Amino acid sequence: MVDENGMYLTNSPASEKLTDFELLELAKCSDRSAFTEIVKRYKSRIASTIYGMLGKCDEADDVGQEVFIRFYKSMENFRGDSALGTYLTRIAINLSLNEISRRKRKSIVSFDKMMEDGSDIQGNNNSVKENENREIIQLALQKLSAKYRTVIVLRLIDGYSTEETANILGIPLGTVLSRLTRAQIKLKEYLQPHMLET
Amino acid sequence: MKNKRIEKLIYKNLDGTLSNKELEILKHEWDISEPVREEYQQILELRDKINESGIRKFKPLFEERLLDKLSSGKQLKIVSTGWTGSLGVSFRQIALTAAIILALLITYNMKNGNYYSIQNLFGDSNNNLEIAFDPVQNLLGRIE
Repeated sequence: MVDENGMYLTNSPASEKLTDFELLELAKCSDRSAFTEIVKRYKSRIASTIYGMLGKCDEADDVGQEVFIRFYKSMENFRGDSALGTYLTRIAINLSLNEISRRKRKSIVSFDKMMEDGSDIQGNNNSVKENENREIIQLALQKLSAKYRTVIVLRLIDGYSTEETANILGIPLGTVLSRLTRAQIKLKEYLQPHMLET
Repeated sequence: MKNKRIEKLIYKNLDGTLSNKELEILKHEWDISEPVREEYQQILELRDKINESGIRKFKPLFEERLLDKLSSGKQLKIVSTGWTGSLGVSFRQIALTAAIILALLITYNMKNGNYYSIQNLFGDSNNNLEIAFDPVQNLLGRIE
């Protein structure tokens, strides 16, 4: 059965067992369930990348959708030079950076103000809850400039190796290492008064 | 941490590969210095917390919404508000083209007109329909 857009409406239960490559080949032939399986497989990884880059905000979900739409449109050109996850992460990073530039132009949020608010919340409660910690880290991440935030998100949140991070960003390994060091020193400075003593 | 060099070596050890000499220095500091061991521990804790801070879920029904967008062709444009939106861009192009045509027309009329007036600028004469289609007037116009 085919829907109005020419996508096959097969509901293959076996798609979960297929490799990325096999799913991709099926998705290229308009197999909807194969494309859905790819989305299911990678959406949490893409979510962590985007939320890491943008913080908790409504736009993150929209950027997530856009990542898979871009992928859907460019699927034909994907030659498999890199792993599918790496390819999607690269799209996610690029779109997140676009969103950050858009925010800069519009100056939507003052992150310093948010950080102050975060510290107020913490100051009122002696016992720091886990989600508060998470929020404070998210806010501290937003204080980093985009180039430092990107390496932290890829390496420490997404769990890519430094080599993979360099490959995704298209920068030398040495640059990734030095950015990682500087970013972690800055994060520690931001977070030390809030978290490390707890 | 006071010793920035050792701090950098700790980070390098966690993310990259230390040379033999660097490894030796770090090992030595680790053996003799309690603050170095504390620092190392703090950095590990911080990295764990950063890792745990990741939000790994989009809003509910992510796939369904995505497939709806793909099916309806209503793909999201993140930067599509205000003048930068596609509609705004189209209008801007039309307005710009119209302005150029208008400017050319005014220039042409000014060049060919005998005197400067608003009516003359827009190529408007005082002729009404009767005069415009009057054969005598037309003939006079041609003679002039």
